[in-house]
Amino acid sequence: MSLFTQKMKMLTAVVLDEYSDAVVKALLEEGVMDFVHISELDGEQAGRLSEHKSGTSVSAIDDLRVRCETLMKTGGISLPSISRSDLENLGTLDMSACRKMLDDLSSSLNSEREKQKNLNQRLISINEMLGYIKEKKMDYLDLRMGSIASGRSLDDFILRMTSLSAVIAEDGKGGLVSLSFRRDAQRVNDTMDKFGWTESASSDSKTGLEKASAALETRKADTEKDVSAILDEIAARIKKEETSLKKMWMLLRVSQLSEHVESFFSYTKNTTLFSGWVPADSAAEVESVILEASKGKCIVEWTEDSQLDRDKIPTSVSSAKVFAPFQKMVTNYGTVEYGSINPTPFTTIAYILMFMLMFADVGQGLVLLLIGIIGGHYYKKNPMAKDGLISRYLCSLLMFLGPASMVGGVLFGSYFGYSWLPALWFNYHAVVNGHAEGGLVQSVYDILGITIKFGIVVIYTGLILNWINLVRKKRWLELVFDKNGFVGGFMYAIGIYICYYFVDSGYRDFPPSALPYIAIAAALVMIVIKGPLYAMHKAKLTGHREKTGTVIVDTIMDFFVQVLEIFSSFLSNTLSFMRVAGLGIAHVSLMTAFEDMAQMTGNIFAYVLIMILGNVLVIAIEGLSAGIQSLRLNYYEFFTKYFTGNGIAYRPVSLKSRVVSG
Amino acid sequence: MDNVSRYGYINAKLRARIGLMMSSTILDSMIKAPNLNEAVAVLAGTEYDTLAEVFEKSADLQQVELELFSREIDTHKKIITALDSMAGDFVTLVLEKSEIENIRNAIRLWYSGAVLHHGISYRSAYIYKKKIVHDINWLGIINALSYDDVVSAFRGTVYHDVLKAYDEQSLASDGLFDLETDLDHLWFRRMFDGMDRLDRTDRDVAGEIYRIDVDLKNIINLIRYGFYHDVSSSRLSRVMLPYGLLYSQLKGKIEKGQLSMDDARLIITRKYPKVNDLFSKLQDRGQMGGGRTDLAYGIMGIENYLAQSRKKEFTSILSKDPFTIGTILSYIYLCKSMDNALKAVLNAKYYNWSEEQIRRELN
Repeated sequence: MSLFTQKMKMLTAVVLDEYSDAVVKALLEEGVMDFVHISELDGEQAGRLSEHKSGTSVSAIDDLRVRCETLMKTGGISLPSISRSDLENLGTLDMSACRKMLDDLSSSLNSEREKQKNLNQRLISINEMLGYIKEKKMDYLDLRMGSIASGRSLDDFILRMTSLSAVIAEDGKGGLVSLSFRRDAQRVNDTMDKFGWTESASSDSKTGLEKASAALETRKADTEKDVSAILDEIAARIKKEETSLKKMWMLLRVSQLSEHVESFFSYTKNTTLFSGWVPADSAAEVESVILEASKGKCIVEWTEDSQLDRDKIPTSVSSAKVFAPFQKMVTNYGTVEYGSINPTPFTTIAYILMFMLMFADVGQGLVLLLIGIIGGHYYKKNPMAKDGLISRYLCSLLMFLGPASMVGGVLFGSYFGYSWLPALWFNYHAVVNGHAEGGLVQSVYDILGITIKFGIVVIYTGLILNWINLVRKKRWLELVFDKNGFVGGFMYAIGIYICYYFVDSGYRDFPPSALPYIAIAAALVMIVIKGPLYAMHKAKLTGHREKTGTVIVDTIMDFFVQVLEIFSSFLSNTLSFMRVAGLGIAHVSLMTAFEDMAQMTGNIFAYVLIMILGNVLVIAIEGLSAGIQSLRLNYYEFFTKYFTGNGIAYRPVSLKSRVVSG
Repeated sequence: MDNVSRYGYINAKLRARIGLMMSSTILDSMIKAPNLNEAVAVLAGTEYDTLAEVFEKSADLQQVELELFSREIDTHKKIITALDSMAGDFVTLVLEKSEIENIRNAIRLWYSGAVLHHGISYRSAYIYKKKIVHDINWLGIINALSYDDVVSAFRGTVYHDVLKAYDEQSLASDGLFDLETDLDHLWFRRMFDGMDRLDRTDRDVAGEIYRIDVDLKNIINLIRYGFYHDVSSSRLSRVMLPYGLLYSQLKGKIEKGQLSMDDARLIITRKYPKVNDLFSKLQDRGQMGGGRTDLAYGIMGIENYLAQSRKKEFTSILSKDPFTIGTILSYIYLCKSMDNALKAVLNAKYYNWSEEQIRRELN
């Protein structure tokens, strides 16, 4: 895992047109280049170049690829990965041949689908009838027993009756049983009359219904078997074309990616020009790949990041795969600016610590860990399974949160809400319930104090990370004068000192020394001079001087906004960490309440049941709350101090790229 | 409870969904698909995934339509649970429209089997049978042997009196049109009564929408039945909805049987000026001795224009005060429009319509 974003270099290459395709394929296989349009680099030079003109419509390729993927999915064929040898042997894309093959396959499936539809409609009638029998809604059915006239074909009779959704069975005594919908009575009667149906004199309706039900069940099983056979046939027909479909998909995919890459290219009469960002540690490899693909007939130039505006350089951060859940939290917030600190390791530590303080219990943590392990195992075994309520992401997060909760439980002596072992730090339950003995933490106020101190540490960590970022970006003015720079940090420190003094004096006195107030006044002066300094700096950079009046008005406005922000945001950010204590206290209180309720029952089974239910509820509700609050504290209290999220994401194009925009 | 508290949560939720719905490319991909199977396959992995699953299991388009209807009911019910009783009751009234649609389908099915003696076999499965708003015995309707059985399936519901006013003989001779019209009228009556129970802001928003909605329906009814089918004035009076901005001005002349197309055009274009040109075309076709097909096309032109106006009306609500019932009504309308478009594309694919033909019909 890198502490900072990866160093990037910009490649600009010129290759002969004839090697252009080979270079594209080589770069796709390498998959580390984030292409930029040449036109974005040098307007004058770009004017002499021509743009890529595609012979094939990218959307047409995409449509065919989607069709191909859909058919493969229906046939249970997984998408192949494309190797170097595949690239060499793929050949060229023939769109009309691809379209024809897909059309042929698709229309051969249509007839099967039509059969499936008819069978399904038959199943609907059967199920409706069976439903009425099961729910004893015999008012909707007509059960009749009798026989048809001799000389009339039984097969024809059954066929005609089946077309009326009726079922005919033998009654076991040489007669027939007919079961039909009463709503169809008129048409059933007409058919029966045609076949000379005579009702049986001695009819046992119970046996008749059993016979008809059995016949109906058999018909249902047969129909379901037929439907299943059709679905198998559909899958088999697609499977038969597996090799062709896979090859077609690869061709379409590579063509689509090539078109995408080539859309960044520019051309002279005989050469192709392209440019893009590559991580510095892959630069040598990319260069050798281009040289090899173009047989040495190319020119490759590298531009260092220091020579370009860093706001335009894409950001790549490398984090170990195991930290993926926290990397996702960072990505969801925004993209790190180039050259800044990678927030993932700090987010990991902060999130885990926050969760641990809010949800500290060995037993409940173990449950979370088990859910994470079982869920992860399930998704690993069923890679195609859709994410459920407990998603893949949640499972991987629980692998961290479970152990964190368990460590918290050991520190605070909590095991499924019981204090089975002595706490390593302090007994949370005893403190919250007011019977703490000895130790530094005696009341909930002490817990609130701990979380405020924890918040101060988190906020200062954020400020220090911001200072490091600003030093790396060489933004010296911001480093000194910004609310998250030295001035802000200094005022925050003085504020903390004054508040602690005030609390220590029993909420009566402020520090008697003039020093803290002089320090605050000095900081305020620095905020005042920030405006003119920024204006001078801007004038130096752009050559444009603001009017004095504008600078004065801006300075006054900025002063009030800045002071208000420093006081309100630092105060609210710090107090916000009291929620860590709040959630922890609520966790203990809920478990205590459940135990009290359980004890009131005076019954061991009820006691165990209530405690199990209590633990389940606490795990579900409190676990969710603690997770959300930890995320909130990271996003609003921690990230806002050092992480702007204004970076440009590094998006290399490779054979594994999932989405390619036109 | 103030409107910000009442609609804050649901407004944010629905607007996010509307954003997704507006940016969706599903319809376009479905239209491009070469056949029904592939058009349905486009839905896999999208918010309409369940439709693809239903089709995969049944290969039956009508089952897919039933699933769409079921989703529509669920959408209404989820919105209702997120609202307080005042707004929730009103959305329940909106949901009654879907219930009436289902009633109409169920009665038509019964009519087809019991009166016309057509086999309904598996078609009963395409009727939604769970409770929508009122306790209606859906199975009782489908399996009814007589019209009295149908009426008894509605016992204790608001629809009972409307159905009781008819008998099997009159339905057999006159068809279901009057009954269905009465059900529509019942819905509008309940809707406008329900509107009075809303607070002032919501009443204004809902009133604006439904008054225009009624006007558009009345214009269509007037042209279709008054001029195209040329029904008697008493019958036309019965079809017209007694609400909206136009009805009071048209009522007198309709009842006296003195409403000419010019009169109608004058009254309607005062409120809806853009209908004027469409009316002129319609009149030209009529006077030039155009056949019924020509007239039918003219009517379709007006209907399309009115449908577009309706769409504009519902969409424009989204740019107004967000904390009113307007966002909810707009979302329900957009969902319904999307469902209808999906149904239209799927049916067009079933009948092998070309991509151009589908696009033309959808626009």
